[in-house]
Amino acid sequence: MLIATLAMLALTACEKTPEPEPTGDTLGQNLLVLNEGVWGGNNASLTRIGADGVDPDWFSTVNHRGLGDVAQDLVLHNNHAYITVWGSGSLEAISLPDGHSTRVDLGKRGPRYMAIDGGKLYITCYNPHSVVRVDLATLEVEAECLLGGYNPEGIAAVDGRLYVASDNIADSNGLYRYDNLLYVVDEATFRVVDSIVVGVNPQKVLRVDDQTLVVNYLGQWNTTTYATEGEGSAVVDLATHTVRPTGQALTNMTVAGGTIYGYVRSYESQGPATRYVAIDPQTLDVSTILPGCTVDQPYAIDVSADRQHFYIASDGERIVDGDLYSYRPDGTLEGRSEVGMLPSKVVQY
Amino acid sequence: MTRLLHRLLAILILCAAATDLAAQDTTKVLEQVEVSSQRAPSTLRTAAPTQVATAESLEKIGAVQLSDAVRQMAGVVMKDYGGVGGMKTVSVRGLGSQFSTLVVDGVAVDNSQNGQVDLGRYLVGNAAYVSLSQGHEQSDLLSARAYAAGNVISLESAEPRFFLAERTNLKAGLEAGSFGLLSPSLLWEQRWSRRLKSSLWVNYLRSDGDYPYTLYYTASRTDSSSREVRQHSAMHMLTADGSLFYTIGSGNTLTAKLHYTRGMHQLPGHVVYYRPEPSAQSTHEEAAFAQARWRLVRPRWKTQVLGKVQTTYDQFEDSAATGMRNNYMENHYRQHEAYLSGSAAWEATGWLDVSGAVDGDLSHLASNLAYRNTVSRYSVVGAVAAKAHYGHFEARANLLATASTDRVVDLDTTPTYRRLSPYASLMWTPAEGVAVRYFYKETYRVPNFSELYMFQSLPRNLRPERARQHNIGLSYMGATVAATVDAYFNRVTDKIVARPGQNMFYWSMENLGLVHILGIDATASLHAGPFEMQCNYTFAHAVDRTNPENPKTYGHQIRYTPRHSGGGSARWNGRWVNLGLQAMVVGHRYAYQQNTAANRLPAYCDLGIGADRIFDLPWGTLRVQVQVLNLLDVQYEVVQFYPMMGRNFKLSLTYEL
Repeated sequence: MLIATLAMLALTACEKTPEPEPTGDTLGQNLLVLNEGVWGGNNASLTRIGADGVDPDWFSTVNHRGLGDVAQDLVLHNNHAYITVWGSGSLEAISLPDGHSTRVDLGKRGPRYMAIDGGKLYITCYNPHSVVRVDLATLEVEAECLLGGYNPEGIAAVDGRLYVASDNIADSNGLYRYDNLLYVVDEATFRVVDSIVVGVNPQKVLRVDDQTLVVNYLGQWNTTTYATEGEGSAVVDLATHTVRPTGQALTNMTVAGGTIYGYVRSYESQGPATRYVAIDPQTLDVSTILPGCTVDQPYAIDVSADRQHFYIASDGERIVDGDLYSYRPDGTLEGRSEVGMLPSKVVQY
Repeated sequence: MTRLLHRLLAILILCAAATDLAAQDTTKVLEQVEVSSQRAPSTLRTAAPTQVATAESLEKIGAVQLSDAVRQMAGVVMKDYGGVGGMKTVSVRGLGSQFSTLVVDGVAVDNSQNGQVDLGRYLVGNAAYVSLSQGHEQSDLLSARAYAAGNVISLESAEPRFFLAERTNLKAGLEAGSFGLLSPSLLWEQRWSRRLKSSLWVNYLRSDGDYPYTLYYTASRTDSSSREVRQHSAMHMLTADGSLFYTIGSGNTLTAKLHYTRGMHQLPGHVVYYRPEPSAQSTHEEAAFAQARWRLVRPRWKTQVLGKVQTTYDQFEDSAATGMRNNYMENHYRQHEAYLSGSAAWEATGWLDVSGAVDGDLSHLASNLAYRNTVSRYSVVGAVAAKAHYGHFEARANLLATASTDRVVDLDTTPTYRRLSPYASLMWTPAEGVAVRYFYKETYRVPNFSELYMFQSLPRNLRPERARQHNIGLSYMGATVAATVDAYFNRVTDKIVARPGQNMFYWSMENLGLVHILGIDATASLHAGPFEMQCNYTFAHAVDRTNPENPKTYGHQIRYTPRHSGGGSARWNGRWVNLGLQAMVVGHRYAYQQNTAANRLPAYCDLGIGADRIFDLPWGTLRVQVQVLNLLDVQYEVVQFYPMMGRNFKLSLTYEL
């Protein structure tokens, strides 16, 4: 038996551990996928998918250094991609299409989400709770606008004003307290001029058109029933500050062609099934989309401008690299490619 | 070995004294020489593979922390967060660290909070031996908890030994090394009467931990890099151990121990790209326990009672916790434990021994966490065991029953766990010095409080992790050479996997994993004149078998477990000076479950050399040892982004009165 076991061990010793390469299915577009990475892993990455194939860590390939610890947001503007890296305190300004990047050190600010307007880049930051303004010509931080006592997250710029979602904050013992406001910041004076009550724990805010925003809110955790309560989404009329709840919870969302697309998912294995929806911001009609989509643990959603390609990124069960899937509007799968750890945003360039 | 040495030493002293007496041509009655009954476990004639580091060998390698002793053993994967103060846990044979039980002077150390014991916080300066047993130790008088372990790390404190008319032993030590390492210690042993002895050992350990390292900005380590210094890595710890050894009568002993430790560890945290500023995290810990062991040994039966009460306090603080109110986070935990164990063994016939043990334990944890901050666990463990020996064969079997239940504030349900776990072993000794062995063991571990109640968004009905272990091996002990080789197969089911939830504070815990571990441990030692050497090698094919549909993890080597690893030490005992060399070689590993090049951590070799000598002084002996550790200045990480120390130096002085 010992000899047999040793023989078996010798055989398995020769067996190579599989190291799967990205599948490289062409998804038909020039895409950038921001992979958030795992906190502590310094493994945030930027995947580039083009006609010439897939580079899962394009940022490192071009710049010979890693993106950093926990990438947060990616926006495109004027042949540049801007990335905030929360853990590393970075703003990376990447020129396209060559990919060379200039790093701006934001120190301990903890940069989160971004919006661009009038040649300025606005970044929500945790420390202090603020929005900072970066001049895109010089990449220097010009000014800081302090917010309330909660952590700011999503930001949208419309008609000279910034709308900032502020979600929650934890006490030193882990007790969460929740905000329910959108802060309105005047770009010219760079001061908070107003606030709009939305739902509890607002996360993302996106511009639908010059008059309309959409905001999702995750609700709060009930410590008695262990259920999340009050999650939802709402459309905000910027002229009147009227808030119209859609009646649909959205874990993540995007806007394309004046329509809101998103999904609602549970982070518990025994939670309800993931659902992909489209919401008409005028009528608030909610319809199910992508009936053939089998990605039940999405982490990102994006829709091409012509609304012919729906990009869904899976979270790799939050322990392995995720995949990017491209679906047609009828829900049939177009292609798939392995990307990086926790793919959180997809953009076309 | 220790006992043999003491006997030899005693004989030498007697011979010298006798020679002296003969020269004086007078007659005197010699006082008795005390020979300790404290014995390290057998490593070769045992069905459970066992490795032992004696006090002598610990001294030779300059071990300070328990982790220094255990990392050299076959089958051990040490998870080391770097520096003297970095947390150090072990995973043995691919089983998780929570399958390893640390036993201090016969009593298992409990940590219901997170189930992990930091071996860096236990010191070996007053140890008689440290052993690692796969399965469990082969003693007749084990506590039921010791039967329950997947593997046992045993730390046994040294019992005082006195020669001739000595009543007092004093031993002072000082370790000093690079990056602010300083560790003075004092051992006072006293014989109060023929029956009563005591020892008091006090140690203070400090380190700045501000060592340099190279930070690589890509996984390939071939692109950008910078030279940095580890910051906010200081620690200090005070440990005091007082023991009483009372001989009630022949074979009837009572030992009692009081232990106190208090420390502070700055936590440098993981290295963050582009963020050179130091972390602001630290822990403060304080622990005290009192334990007693009464043992009665009679020709055909023996019994033992163990008892322990313990209180621990741990505080975690972060004054730069981004995203928290005022950037401040503070969690503290106070745990109380009461433990009682009774065991007995009876030689039923000339070939059959039977034994049994029952343990009861109450653990109570209170914290300042916002939710589910008060948890109590009541557990009862019982074991019945039998040992049969006939000719060249010895067979053992036991059945373990465990039951535990929890009470949790603001949780309606009370999770209860019950299970029977069998064990069987067979040993055949076909010739003198040769043994063939096999054991099978089932182990399960109850989820700890962190997994069940803290830092997760929803309490789940987590099942215990289960491990089935098979081991078959061969041992040989000759006059100068000893060797063992063991092959094993472990199967871990219902492995608990933690995954981040919607925010970084609360995680989700699920029984997701199935892991198969197929491996070999081999050890060899050689003693030839002044030269001695030992080495070990471990092969571990530890792979995920959870979901065949998931090619990203199925068949991949589990995290932080090298396929190949080994180590060794060599020593030449010279007339003028003793020279030693130690090496540890660890193959490549993966930081994540997916075995990609980006997740791969490179192999490394840690080589150390040293020299020592004992000087005879008028009032005692002085041992001086100098060591160069990580001689090749290899830049490596055991845990990704927790760099280890490069080349460093250590000086040890031990004065024995």
